[in-house]
Amino acid sequence: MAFVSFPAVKRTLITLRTPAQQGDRTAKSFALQAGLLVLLLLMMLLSLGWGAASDTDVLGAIGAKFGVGSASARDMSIVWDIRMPRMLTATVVGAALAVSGAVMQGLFRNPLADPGLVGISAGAGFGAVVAIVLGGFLPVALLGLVGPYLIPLAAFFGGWASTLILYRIATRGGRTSVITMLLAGIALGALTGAATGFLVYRADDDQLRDLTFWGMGSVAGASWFKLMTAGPIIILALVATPFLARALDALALGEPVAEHMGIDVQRMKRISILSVAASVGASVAITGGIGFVGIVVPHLLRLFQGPVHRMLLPNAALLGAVFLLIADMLSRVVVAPAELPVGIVTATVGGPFFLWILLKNRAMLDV
Amino acid sequence: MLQAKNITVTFGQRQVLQSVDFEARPGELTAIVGPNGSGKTTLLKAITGEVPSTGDALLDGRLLSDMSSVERATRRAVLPQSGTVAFPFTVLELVRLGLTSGRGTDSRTAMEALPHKALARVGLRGFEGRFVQDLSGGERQRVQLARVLVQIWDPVLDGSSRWLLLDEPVSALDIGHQLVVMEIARDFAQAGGGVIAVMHDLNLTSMFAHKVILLNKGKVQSTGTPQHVLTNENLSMCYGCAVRTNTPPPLGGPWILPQAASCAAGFAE
Repeated sequence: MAFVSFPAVKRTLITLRTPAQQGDRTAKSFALQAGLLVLLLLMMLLSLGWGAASDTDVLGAIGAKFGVGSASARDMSIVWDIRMPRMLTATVVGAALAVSGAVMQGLFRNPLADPGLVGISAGAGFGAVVAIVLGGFLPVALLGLVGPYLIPLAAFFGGWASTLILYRIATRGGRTSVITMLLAGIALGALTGAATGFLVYRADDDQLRDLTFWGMGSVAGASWFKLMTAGPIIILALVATPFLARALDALALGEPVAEHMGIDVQRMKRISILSVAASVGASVAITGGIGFVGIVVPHLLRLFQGPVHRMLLPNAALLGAVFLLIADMLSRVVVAPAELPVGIVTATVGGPFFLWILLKNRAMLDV
Repeated sequence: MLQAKNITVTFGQRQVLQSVDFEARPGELTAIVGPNGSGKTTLLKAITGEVPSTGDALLDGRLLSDMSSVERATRRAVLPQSGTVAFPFTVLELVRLGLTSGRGTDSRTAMEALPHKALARVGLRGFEGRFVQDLSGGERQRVQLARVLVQIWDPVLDGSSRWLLLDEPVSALDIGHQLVVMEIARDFAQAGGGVIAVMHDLNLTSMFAHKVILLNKGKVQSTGTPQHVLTNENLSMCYGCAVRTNTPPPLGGPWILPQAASCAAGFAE
């Protein structure tokens, strides 16, 4: 236990024990961040070794890639061609969904806002389906220009349009109504669902195979190619969010107060909506709609470390990644040797959790 | 100097404010009073840009609407009448939000101490770890005041006065804390800052305000010192009730006692 006497650790432990009196949860949040970072690295590594081929020499394969030691061609292929893109996809998408949830909740000033619940994922899915089914009709020149980015871009525009419509409908005179938002989300989801259904009906067999996968929400189809098309969009959107932290905090006091505090509210709304649409759109493009990550993760964190976004957003990224990595590993063993789509796992955890928050916040919905 | 020139606000068909002009000087506490619906809060919101209006609001000769949002937040802070907080912030976390508004003046360590100073000033020392949603209405109002104070802690910055705009700052408070808050406002003004407060309580106005603007039906009825504005004639006419004013020795300003609601023609019908 010698390390406990180490001054920094000791100070952290002391702050951890008596934070509530001070009302300052910054130290607690930083400690959590460090813990989550370690957990994330562990889960990433564990995810690489998790699967039917349990005898795979993961560390050997990683080392061999960087010229340390050697590994069999089979192990190299399992780790680098199959598990690595899948693991990275789960990490990036988990982070993107959790952060988008936190940003949406801050923007709508409501803990129940979630990209999946209010139809943004459905909008993004619709965009992706349009690209798959109708992409062939695009002029060859344009197709050559956007190329592999067509599906992520279409998903992004689908998500962006739904977010914008939703915000416009739910906000009147600077106030965003929760009930209007949830109802409009349901209507919007149904509408895009119907349009998606129509396109599915019109699709040919090859397209159908692509399409089936949207309904599921799965990281099993991950590949380096998909990761490379959507990953940069997601990372770009995630990098933008820390700049929103101060504005989201101020917005918790209401739009007029945020204005008084020197926040350009219209501008921050535009950036929030763009970043949510980009990260959810790109995520849906490569994994389909995975629900409830965006609602479970930020809510758990707020319970523990409070709502200050400067700490909430980075920790949501970390915990979101951990959550989806664990869900993905569960999805590989629950019905082994087959695999569950990971969306089923997150919904199984998230559904009851959402209900719990809903019941706890019932008073807020009756406004 | 904060000036409002020819401010007109229209909600639908109804003119809530008609060509209102006034000036508020730094070093003074300017109170806006008037009956319900006379346009007090609307006038404050027109100055802060919260409600759309025609006419100009100028701070030291510059249009407030021409300033960047950060510059505005550096020059003035606004205490709203009431407000909800969307997430479970602790008192300290909420007051700290004032630190990141506008432009800071001090070193980091000095800034870190400000929320604690502000909480002590509003009588909420020891409340740092409480959750805002668990507080009483009056405590919450004082937490918001502490946040606003942190935003513009020094009443004068780089030679220009900063402004506190308060919308009914004492409406939810007990008499002890009413005095605490009014003294904070007066001290801010005496240190060179400017204060504009929308007030309901005429006696507190009389005690603390240097200048009173009496609104009636969207127009300025009278402007000047409390002695000049808070007269029997003015108050009976605007508020539609009989009042008696007199001047007890220690206060210096008029003291207003409501008498009967039946005085004014057109009010009892």
